[in-house]
Amino acid sequence: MGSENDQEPGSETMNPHLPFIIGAYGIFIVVLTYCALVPVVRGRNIRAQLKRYHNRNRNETQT
Amino acid sequence: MTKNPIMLFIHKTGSPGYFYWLSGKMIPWLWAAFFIFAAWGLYQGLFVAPTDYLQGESYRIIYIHVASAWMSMMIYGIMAVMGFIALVWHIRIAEILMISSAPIGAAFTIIALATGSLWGKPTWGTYWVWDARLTSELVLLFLYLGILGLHAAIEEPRKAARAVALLAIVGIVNLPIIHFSVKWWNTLHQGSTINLAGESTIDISMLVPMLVMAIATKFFYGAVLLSRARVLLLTQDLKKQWAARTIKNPGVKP
Repeated sequence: MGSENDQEPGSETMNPHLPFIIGAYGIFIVVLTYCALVPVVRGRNIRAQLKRYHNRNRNETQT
Repeated sequence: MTKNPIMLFIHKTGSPGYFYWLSGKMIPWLWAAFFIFAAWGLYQGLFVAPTDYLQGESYRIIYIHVASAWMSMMIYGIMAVMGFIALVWHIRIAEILMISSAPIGAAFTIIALATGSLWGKPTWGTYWVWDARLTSELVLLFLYLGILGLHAAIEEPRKAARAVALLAIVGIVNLPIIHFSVKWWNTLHQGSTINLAGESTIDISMLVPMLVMAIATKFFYGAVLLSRARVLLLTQDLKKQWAARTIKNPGVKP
């Protein structure tokens, strides 16, 4: 691999590789965002479930 | 008798309440490190690094492809080590970390395969070939999916973890196959451009953003792994006292 310095700056035509680059980075962002959000949503649900469970238990022991 | 502080820390981390508290403190720092490294690496890779003289602009995909491929293998290796620890010493946190790693590893494998395919089209003229490197990486994805399926199929969490640990240890044989596939077989996939022992065949201006992205993905793995492990711990210990205490006083050291 090496660098190319003789490329003309400000070329008018769109780079033919651009859709592949955008697609690849799009997949990277979507998959990682999904992977990161799943535990956040599940954590929120499980904490709410846990609160309900312990509140119910407390009420039962009080009555 | 004086206690070794490292051993003491390991023992303390094995306690679910302490692990939950400590991981909660670590996660924001891991996210911050990930965003800083990823922003820097992506900026350098997409806008500063020069165009490759052979592959043109499409080579910029390697900044996510290589980092993801490395992560897919590293996470599997960590899973196998955790599986070994879980099988030999019956440490529950190791089981939790092993199971929580699987979806992240699968995600990185999917990214590695998809981005590699998108890089292959302009470079090789095809999205896919049954080349040794690509096929062995696909086998890695099937191993991850097999692990997730096996874990979901067994109801009792400790039994499920033991089965997964065995599969993770057996499947580790695929890692050297992936790594050395480009040497052992005549593959369309290019050989290693980064050599730890010898000289790398990649320009330093292209190498630095790649290494920065590799570091960034490790912080991502750390943050998501701990988040998933916390959720799994709470799910399994729904009726335990430490869980009730944690919900009542979140952020308080146990």
